[in-house]
Order: sequence, then structure tokens, then C-alpha cells
Amino acid sequence: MKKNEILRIAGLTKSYGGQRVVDQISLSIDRNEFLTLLGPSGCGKTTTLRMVGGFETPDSGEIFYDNQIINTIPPYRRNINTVFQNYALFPHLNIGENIAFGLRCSKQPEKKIRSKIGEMLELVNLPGFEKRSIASLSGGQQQRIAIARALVNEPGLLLLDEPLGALDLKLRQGMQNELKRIQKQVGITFIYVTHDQEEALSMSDHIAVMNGGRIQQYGTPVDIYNEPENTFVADFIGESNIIPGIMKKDYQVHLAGKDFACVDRGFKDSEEINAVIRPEDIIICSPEDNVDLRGIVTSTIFRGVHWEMTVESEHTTWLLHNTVQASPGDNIGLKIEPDAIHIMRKDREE
Amino acid sequence: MKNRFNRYAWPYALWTVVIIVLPLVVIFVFSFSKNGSFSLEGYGLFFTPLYLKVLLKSLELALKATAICLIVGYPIALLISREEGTRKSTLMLLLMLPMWINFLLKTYAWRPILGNTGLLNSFLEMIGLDKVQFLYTEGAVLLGMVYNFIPFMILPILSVLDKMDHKLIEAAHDLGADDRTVFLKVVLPLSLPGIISGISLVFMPSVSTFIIPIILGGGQDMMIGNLIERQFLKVGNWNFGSSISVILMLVILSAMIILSLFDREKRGER
Amino acid sequence: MKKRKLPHWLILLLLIFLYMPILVLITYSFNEGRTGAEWTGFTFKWYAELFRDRNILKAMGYTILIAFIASTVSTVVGTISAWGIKYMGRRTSGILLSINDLPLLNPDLVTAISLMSLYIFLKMTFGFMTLLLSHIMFSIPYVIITVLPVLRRISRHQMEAALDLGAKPVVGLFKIILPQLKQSIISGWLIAFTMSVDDFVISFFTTGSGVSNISIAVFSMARRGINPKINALSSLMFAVVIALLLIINKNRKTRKEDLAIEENILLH
Repeated sequence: MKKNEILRIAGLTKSYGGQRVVDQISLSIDRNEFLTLLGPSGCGKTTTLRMVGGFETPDSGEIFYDNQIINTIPPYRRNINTVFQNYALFPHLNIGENIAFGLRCSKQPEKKIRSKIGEMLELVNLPGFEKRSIASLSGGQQQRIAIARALVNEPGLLLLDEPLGALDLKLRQGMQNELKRIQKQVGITFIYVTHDQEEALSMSDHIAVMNGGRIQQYGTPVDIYNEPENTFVADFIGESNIIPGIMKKDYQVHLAGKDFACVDRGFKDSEEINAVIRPEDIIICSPEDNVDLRGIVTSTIFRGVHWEMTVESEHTTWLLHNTVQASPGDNIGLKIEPDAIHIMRKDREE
Repeated sequence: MKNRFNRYAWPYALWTVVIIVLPLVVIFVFSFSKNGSFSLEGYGLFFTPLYLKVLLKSLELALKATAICLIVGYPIALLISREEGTRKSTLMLLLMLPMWINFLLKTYAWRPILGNTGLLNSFLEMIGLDKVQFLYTEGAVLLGMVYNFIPFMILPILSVLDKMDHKLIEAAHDLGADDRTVFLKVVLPLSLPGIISGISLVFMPSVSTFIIPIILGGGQDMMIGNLIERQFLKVGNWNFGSSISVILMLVILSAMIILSLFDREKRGER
Repeated sequence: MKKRKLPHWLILLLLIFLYMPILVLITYSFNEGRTGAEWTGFTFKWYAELFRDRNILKAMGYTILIAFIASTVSTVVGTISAWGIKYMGRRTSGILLSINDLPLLNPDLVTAISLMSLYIFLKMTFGFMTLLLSHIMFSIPYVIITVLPVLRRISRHQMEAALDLGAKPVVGLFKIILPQLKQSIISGWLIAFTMSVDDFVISFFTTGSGVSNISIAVFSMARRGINPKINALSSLMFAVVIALLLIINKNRKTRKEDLAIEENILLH
């Protein structure tokens, strides 16, 4: 095992009523890392998190924490804490007592508890809130208290189950930065569960994209975005044009009725592949120029930062994001640079 | 997690079987036996003119009481539902308060009013009329039923009316319905669940009461409840008493089935 | 809409109908004369006589004792059972709750004779124990339907959060779950207590010689005819009910919530 590893999951499996929710998952997480489990609802990410937290027992496979198997250790004996989806703050206790709960369970001296509460409120930017009631807090503030409460025990690992899911967009973006700052400041490993790809991309050191109880791809946000390993990942992360094609030879691919230069190699000659082209990587130019493709704009929607356009070329429909607007009915030319094309092997099930 | 805690309910489950289900089974078995062997004598005895008349009288009084409660209670529920704020909650509290007062005492309270030398007859004498026998009549029993059970008719109707979306009424008006049509086609059909639960809440205790006939009806075997009481407590013929009880339960059960059919039919239409 | 000062005459008429007999009774409890509508002078003698009547005092004692034991036992058993029911499968809990509803839905008379038959069947001696058992039997369902909805609203994450922060299950139960149930447990106890004090039919059938509660005592007096002592007793009980309701009302946050709970219980 690696020296810096804090948690290792090996072949973890869990079924409910005969259905495999988590299917042979293996992962390794280093100290101080920010790992995100990303996937649509029902992909098994929350169940995986709950097994690490001790709220579910795995059917098979092992969870190693600090190199010890913890499969059947109850939650109250794990040095792991959780931030729950709807915070699960205790409504009958005030903020100070919510944060103090963990310390009182381990019978810490009162003086230490007091100073710890202050320290934690300081950390989450809510100093002086000790005596306030839970009901008096906004969603974002409740979120901070939930984090403070979970961090007070100084866990080796913090689990966050869709912690920003209940907040509105503006607040969510603010909390993303906040969470990242807190993680840097306390130096604790975070495992973060979300279905929001933007959240995952902007906060994580590593992302494990999950679907159907399996990990589809593990890597850094940049890798996952730029080099999705299969159509599920390409489709789930950002928007993309997924175009079937044939790999003519190394660095040359045939798609949408044309040959394109690309940067991928190592495929069999004439192997059928899928190519991923991000909508923002397609360049619009005048149809008279020396272009790769020509097409007609069929729809244009204003998306705030950019325009989203659908363009019909001879063989394919393209999704484009561009700050330049083209109107429906316009004839335009399209250019695709070699490094904008990412080649994937055909998924097995296709 | 789930399976760890549900065991806390199992002792109670066992308890309910012993003290709720088993007794009903015992009554059923008692009703079909005599001196420890199978017998239909209890039922045979019941289906004689003497006892059938009591059954019919019970049904008649209970149905009358239910009808009066509905006819009087519905408009009142409607009126209260149109009130607002503290006045409405005060009215509701006033309506519920008598429900917390001992049933026996509430019934007994009518005796000084209805009695031969009671308030009502004194009043009649004062204005120069003859005394009337109020107490120990069927009318007094009926009055006792209405008095005790009318809140049980008003409250469920009121609660349905309160939950009704006021936009529905506005929508009906918007579509050109007048007040009468709105009431008949929107409000009344939508309040049907409340009416049905009100009917069962009045009919059931009315048909099974034995206290009201004793206190206001003069204690003759007027209603089926009195028959049961007498068989169990005075005659000691538990088999016959059980047979009558099973018949009472059947009456109530069939009333509830009829009501639920009516309810379902209406819901199906909608 | 114009705002009328008084409610509709129909509502007023109903309120007069509902309260007149009680008011008449209270008035007569201070009347010198033994029978009749005539007012012959103000007196407290019926109250004095009431408190000299040994049977009534004994019945009061039994009423309070039975109500206290039955409501306390029911609250403990009902709360624990509600906790179990929360974690039962939907079908099992559905069946159990339907059985639980039977004593609430069945006419008192049927419940009473069914219990009586059970005690006969089990050859038990009628008396204090049978009376107490019956009261526990019909009180638990009230506690369960009061506590269970509140319990079901408490997210399972509450317990998990407690365990997560290092609390053992027992600690989680006492520090996190029970404090949040406090209000509904108190309501459940109060309802069970009131139902027990108020009960006549079930007590009448399941008690034995020498043991009677207030209702039974009133009944045996009432079936003999008018007795001013009953008037005094009624007035006292009416005063107690109003006082209790006021206390309960004050303890709850809003009257609306209070009405909703009462309505839920009464109409269940």
C-alpha cells in the first residue's frame, strides 16, 4: 500500500432486494485529498458513502481505514464524520450544543468544549452564534453548522453527502469556495458525493464517476473532462457531441463524412470508435473560408454567457457553444482543431 | 438499520393479538355455542318478533339521529368554515369542549330539563299549558343522541371544507356557475368524504348506545345495546349476549361497507 | 364581505343547545331544593355532601389511580412500540396499525363485552386488575396515534448523525430522539389520562365488586333518579376539564396546532 493512503476500498458490493446497488467498487484515497463520487441518482454513490460511514454493512469487499478493516465497526467507533444531505442538525439543541454534541459524547472537559465551539464557529465564519437556535438559521448557515459539528471531533475523514443540494445556485457557488477553503485550512480528507458535475469539476482533486453501481472513470477533473473514457462519462460531464466514426490510422479519424487530423493513436486500423467534441471547441467561420464542414443553423438559444446553436451538416447534427451569434437559417462553416477531437473505444454494450 | 429496531413493536403486536383480536374471536365462538357445544340457539332466539322489534327500533332511532345531525350539522359546518381567524378557532373550540365532558353527565344533564317537574314543564305551566311527558320517551332518547353526537358530524365536514381549495370555487364561478350550482356541483361533492365519516361517527355510537335509553328512555329494553347489557350483566346468558353482539357488529360492519361503497363510487365518477 | 358582530343565528342556536344543559346543571348544583325547577335559595350543601359520600370519594380515588397507572404504562409501552412500528415494513406496520385502530373504531360496548368475554374465557376474577388491564388496552392506541406521526417526521439521519458523532444508540435515543418526542409523549399521556377518567362503558363491564370509578358511581345514582350531588359532581368535573384544557392550550405553541391534534384524536 501507498504510504500516504488513508482509505482503501476493495471490491465493495451491496445489494438491496436482489439488486446490486454497489458493484465491486475499488478506490484508494490519500490523506488531504478531496475526492468526489459523481453520478446520477441511484448510481450507488450515497450507498458507498454510507458504508464508509458505517450506516450500512457491505455484502462483500473490504473497507480499510488507516490500514485496518472497518467493515463492521459501528459509526460511533469510527474516526470518520459525516455531513448529511439535509444537515440532520438537532432541532432541540442550540448551535453551540449541536457542535458540542460529539465532544460531550467523548466526555471532554467543559473548558475545552467552550473553546472548541468558538474555534469551529470561527472556522465556518459564524462567530458568536453559540446561543442561536437552529430554526433561526438560513439554509447556507445551517450548512456551515453541519460542517462545524462534523469537524469538531477532528475526524481523519469527512464524508459529505450532497451537502449543497438544498441550496440555491448563488449560495451553492459561494459554499463551493468556502468548502474548499475549509478543507485546505483543516487539512482533512474529504469524500464528497454529488450529482452536480460543475461542483465536482471545480472542487475535487480526483473524481470517480459512477453509474449502475460501478466506477466508470477515475481521474483528475481535467482528465475526466478532456478525456472521457466512455460515452456515459462524456455525456454526463459537460455537454458534448458524441460522433461515431472510424479510426483510419494513427492520428487520422473519419467522421461526419470527412477525414480529420487528431492527436490519438494506438487504435487498430479501421476500428470503429466514438469521437467526443465539446460544443465550445467547434470554431464558427464564414462558409467561404477553407473549412472542415458546412452547415445550416437550425436553432439558437441565448444561454447567458454564450449562445447555444444547433447546426445541421451533411451527415450530422452539431451542438455549438459560441459567444458569436448565428441566426437560424444562416449558412456557416465549421472548423475542428485536431486537439479538440477526443477518441473513445466503442462501449462494450453497444 | 431497519431491522434492528422493529423488534420493539413485537411485544405490542403480541399484546394486540391477545387483548384485541382474541376477545373478538371469543365473542364469535361464544355466540355459536351453548353449554360448551355448538348451537345456533342464540341466533334462533334473536330472530323472534320480540327481539327483531328492538333491532328495528335501534336502527330507526340511530338513522333518525344521523339524519338530524346531518341536516342541522352541514349548514353549521358550512357557516363555520366561512368564519376566519380567532373567531373561527374559538367556535371550533366551543364545539369541541363538550366532547371532553363526561358522556354520562352530559346525558344526565337533560333530566332536570325534561323531567315532569323540570324546567321545560315549569315553563309550559307558567304560560298556561298542560304538562307534557318529555322524559322516558323515544323523543328524549333521540334528543340525547343528537345532543351527544352532533359535534362528530360537524367536525369532519368542517375539516374537509377547510381543506378545500378555494380556487376551485372561484374557478367554478369563473366558468359561469351561480352560487347554487357551485354548491351542488362543487362544494357538496367535494365534502362527501367528510359527510361519510360524519355519518359513521354518529350512526355507530347511536346504534350501539345503552346509556342514553337507560337515563333518558326509562330503562326499558328499548335498544339493542340494552339487550346486550342485560344478557351480560343481569341474566348472565353470555351465549345469547354474544349472539346479539355479533349481530350488532354485523349491522355496523354493513353500514360501514355501504358507506365506503358510496364513497368509492363517487370517487370513481370524478 | 361585511363583518357581522355575532356569528350566524344557527351557530348561536347550536351553542345554546350544547351548553344549556350543562349550565342548568351547574346552576342547580347551588340550588337549595332537592328536586324540581324551582329556585329555593343558594347553597353549597350538595358539594359538602358530595365530599362526605364515602362511595364517591372511593370512586374518585380509583379513577385517579387507574387513570394514572394506565396512562403511564400506556405512554411507555406506546412510545416504545411506536419506535418499533416506525422501523417495520410497510405491510407489517399496516396490519398492526389496523388492529391498533380497532378499539378506536369499535363502539365502546363491543370493546367492553369483548374484554368481558376474554376475562370470562380466561377465568379471571373481575376487579381492580381487569379494570386496569382494560384501561391500558384502550389507552395504548391513543398514545401510538399521537406519538407515531411525530416520530415518523424525525429523519432517520437524526439517529445516524448522533451515532456518527460518537453517541452509542442508547445515548442517541435519550439525547436526540426522546427530547424531540417530548411534546407528543406528554400529549399522549394527557389524552390517555382523560380517556381513562372519562370512560364509563368499558369500566362498567370489566370491573368487579367493590371497585368502581366516578362514572360508574354517577351511573348508579343517575339511574335511581335525580340527585343534586350529581349536579355538584358534574360542575366540578366540568371545571376540571376546562382547567386542563386551558393548561394544555397554554403549553402548546399555537391554538391551531392544538385544535388539529384534538381533532385528529377525536375523529380518528
